[in-house]
Amino acid sequence: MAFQAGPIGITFTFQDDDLATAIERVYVPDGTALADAQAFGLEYAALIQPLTDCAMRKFIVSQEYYDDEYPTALPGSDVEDKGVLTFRTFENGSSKMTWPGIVESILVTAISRPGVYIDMANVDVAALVSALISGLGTPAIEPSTRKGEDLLEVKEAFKRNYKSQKSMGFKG
Amino acid sequence: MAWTNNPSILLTLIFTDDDQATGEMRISFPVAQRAYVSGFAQTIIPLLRAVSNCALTHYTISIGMQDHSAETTGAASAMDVGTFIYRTTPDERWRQLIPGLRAAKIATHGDYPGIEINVNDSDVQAFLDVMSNGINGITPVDPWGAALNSLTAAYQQKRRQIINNRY
Repeated sequence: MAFQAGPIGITFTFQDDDLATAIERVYVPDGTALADAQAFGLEYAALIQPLTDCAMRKFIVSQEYYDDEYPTALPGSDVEDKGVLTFRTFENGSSKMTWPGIVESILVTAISRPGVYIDMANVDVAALVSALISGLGTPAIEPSTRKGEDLLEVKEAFKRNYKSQKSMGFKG
Repeated sequence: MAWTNNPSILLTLIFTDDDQATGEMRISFPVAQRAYVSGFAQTIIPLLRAVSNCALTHYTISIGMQDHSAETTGAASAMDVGTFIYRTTPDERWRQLIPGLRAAKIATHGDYPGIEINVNDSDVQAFLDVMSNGINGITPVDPWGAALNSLTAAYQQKRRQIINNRY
């Protein structure tokens, strides 16, 4: 696989007196660092504010990377069959992650409710959980909650059917 | 304006199944680690492919800022949209929109008074300068990476606002 970077979109949210919102996006070239794109977004917002009666509430810098080998799904795969991991976080908080298309081979079968719980001793599961809790990459970085808090340990791991979410990836 | 960073940066991994339906996995990171999230993504993708039978086709990294102090002028309608049309290549155009365009930025004379944007207004000029020349070496492009070569039209129009419930 080789991931290719797409252009960076900066999406601004405008809110009017009726609390209706509109979004508008400006694009900057491939290869722009996220931090530089964010700095651009701040200056761009300052330029736009004198032109609009709306309040500019937020902006999001977003970059997409796509696999240029265009992998295909296995027959019978279903994005609504989710793997679910719940985590204990800082000060006894909790957080949840799901991934689509869980493979059946990582589910525990030798219990009273077979096919529900994820086998934490499975090598592939253990590698994923280690990456999510202890970090990965060079340099290694650790995922967090949306508030930026540490994920401390897995509380539960199971399969559940959840409605599919549409991709919010970059769309030209 | 008082912009503040969201506390985390979001990695969204996109999966497609056998029916071409899409689903996603979201992983957050402390915002200070933004430079390394793409490296994390490309390292964890093989691990995710081992536990999913869907195709993991792409991922997106998003970082947000918010300004809770921002206020409207009291006359704001998101449907009053300033529209700037740019020529990118000889055959292609791209439009940049500004929702809630202020009435004071509309031309009062010329061919289309009340419709055309006054491109001589100093605030409009500052915007056009950035679209053409950029800020700190970063110049806007269209979604396919083409330069916005020349402004061909600038006018106000009514456009339905879009509701954004995300992030």
